Amino acid sequence: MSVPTWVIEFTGGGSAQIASLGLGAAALLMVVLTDRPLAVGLLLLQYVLLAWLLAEQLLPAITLVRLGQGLAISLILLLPSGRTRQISGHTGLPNGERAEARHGRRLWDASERLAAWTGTNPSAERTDPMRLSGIYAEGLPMRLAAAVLAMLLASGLARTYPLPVLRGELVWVSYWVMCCGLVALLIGRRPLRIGLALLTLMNGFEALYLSLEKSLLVMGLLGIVHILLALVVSLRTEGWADLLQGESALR
Amino acid sequence: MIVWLAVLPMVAALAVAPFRRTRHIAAPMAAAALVLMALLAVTLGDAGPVIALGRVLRLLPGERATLAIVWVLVAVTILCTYRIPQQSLLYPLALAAVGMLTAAAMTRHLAIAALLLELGAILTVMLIPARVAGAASVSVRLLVLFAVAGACVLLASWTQDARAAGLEGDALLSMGAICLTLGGGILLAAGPLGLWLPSVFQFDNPLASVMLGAALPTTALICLTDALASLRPPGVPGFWSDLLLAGGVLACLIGGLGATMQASLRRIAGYAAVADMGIVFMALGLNPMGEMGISAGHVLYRALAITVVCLASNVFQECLGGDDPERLQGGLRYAPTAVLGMIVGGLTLAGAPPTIGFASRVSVYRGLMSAQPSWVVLVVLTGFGVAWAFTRCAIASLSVATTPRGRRESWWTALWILPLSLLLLFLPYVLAISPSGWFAFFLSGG
Repeated sequence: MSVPTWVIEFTGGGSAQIASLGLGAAALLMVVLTDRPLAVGLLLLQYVLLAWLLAEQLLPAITLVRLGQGLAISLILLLPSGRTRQISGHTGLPNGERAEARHGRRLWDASERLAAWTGTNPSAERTDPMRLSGIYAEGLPMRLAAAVLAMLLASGLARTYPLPVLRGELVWVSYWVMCCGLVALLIGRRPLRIGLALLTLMNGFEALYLSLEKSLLVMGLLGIVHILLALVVSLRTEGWADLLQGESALR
Repeated sequence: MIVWLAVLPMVAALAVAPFRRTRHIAAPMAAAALVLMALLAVTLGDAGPVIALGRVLRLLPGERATLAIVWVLVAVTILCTYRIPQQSLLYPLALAAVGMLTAAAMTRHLAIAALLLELGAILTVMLIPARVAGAASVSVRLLVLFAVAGACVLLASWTQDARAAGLEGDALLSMGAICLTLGGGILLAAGPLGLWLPSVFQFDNPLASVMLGAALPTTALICLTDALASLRPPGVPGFWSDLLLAGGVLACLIGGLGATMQASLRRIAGYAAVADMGIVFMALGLNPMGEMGISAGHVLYRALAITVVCLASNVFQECLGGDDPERLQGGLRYAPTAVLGMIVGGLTLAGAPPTIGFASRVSVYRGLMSAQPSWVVLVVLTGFGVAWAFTRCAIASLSVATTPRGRRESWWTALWILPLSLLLLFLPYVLAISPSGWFAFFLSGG
């Protein structure tokens, strides 16, 4: 079966399938694209499509609230995304992947990455901002490979744990979005990118969990968790950007 | 009414917020609110369950006493460290986090408890200093871990509900058990999943360390203990015990090895706390029937020891400019109570005799001896690793500095560290002469 035919058949079933496809595409683009304001836009798209996907199971008022929540989170994250772009400009950093590939190899030092991950080397963030941006692991080939890996992982999960109590496309898209979030988390290094990946992972989980759990209180608390996560990510990115800007000014 | 225990810190957070830039007012207010909560908790008597938003809220007397002690420790940390320049919203955020954690502890529904725990944990992450190198990375990665932990516990809760609804199956129960172990492992900071803790301890902020190292695991233990019994797979005897025992031994191994390789007291304390939580995991594994048992007592001594060591480390930072063995040389001359706190707290975390940490470990060793005798040797050896790391710091602080440097510790910090250290030191004897029912009351969770 050719891909266009499969897409037409898949979307022929109704709006839920279109929402599933859109959600999967938005999550995939989140892994592949590096432009931060665009990534925030993709996150907003995820929230809209997730609300659409779950609209059949939720009350219209709740769907509306969830849309508002997505908008609020995107606005919260839009501020630091502009700031990091500004810093890239200040420090003479081209925002494109070519620069990342050029400078990235220098940072491909396993011990430094491990130390930064475990937090044993607090000076990791004080290194040259050029190096900070130029992560080889964030280059386009790596991101494309990560997207393929996410697709394989999601397809494996969907076959192993099909969850027959739920609709097939819902299970598939949940695993897909979760896997995209997971690989984006693994290859991301900047606080904002990690935060966006985390929210993507959470969206995938919510698509699955809210189909199983219908409690209003649980839904409300999950919404608060999302907003609080976005707030902390935004604040920490601001702190990180201040630190980086201060050190860049000192140089 | 127990609902006040969750409402009071929220109200206090709002009341403290206007004074956030005046530490001399905000810190005593926040500490007073926490002490008031502790008093309220221990004087409530045998309060029955309360229904709020269709959910049962309840705290057993033992659980209330456990939480009260933790709140007092947080209050002491606030009072002892209020002079350190920190972010302005520190105290309101700490109070809000305490409110969330308390609400989680009193909620008997696992999914809601998990979400409230997650909210409390996220608020606690905000206590980590913002504009310090490395803080952003650590904070965001902690968020990832707590979000994953929350999702795991939510899945475990779903398997619990599915089982209650008549959906049977060993695979479902095993999935629930594994999810609960993963989520619990992160929240309790045990085993490889608890390696985030030393990263938190490395920042010079005792309040964040005490909240994330003592308050969060204690509350998580209260929340998750009930689920242990309900998710015990009947068809797989020993599944839970093996999982928890293996997790506990792994935590001791990683924490013990990690502690020996660290160069600063704060990071040693972080790894020691991970290793010590392994003992709690093992205690749960040896008694997987949903009783807190010895683990409740141990988690309290652990919280006390962590608080004392963190406060001592902060004093060393202030007086000697650092807390690595080189800087600690001659520490006894400048900060005698901090040295006492470090030695007593450190040895308690290591489980060295005659500290209270050893007393509770002996019960775990006995149980482990009958279940997995070879693991006892491994766990005892890891205890030596932690003890050696603290002893290294103690030897350095007891030695005479060749050149005079640093300044004396303030009477204010000594005023708080000394009674806590003495309490920790003499606790085994206090418990031995106390009315017999008191200790049993704590151990049984009321």
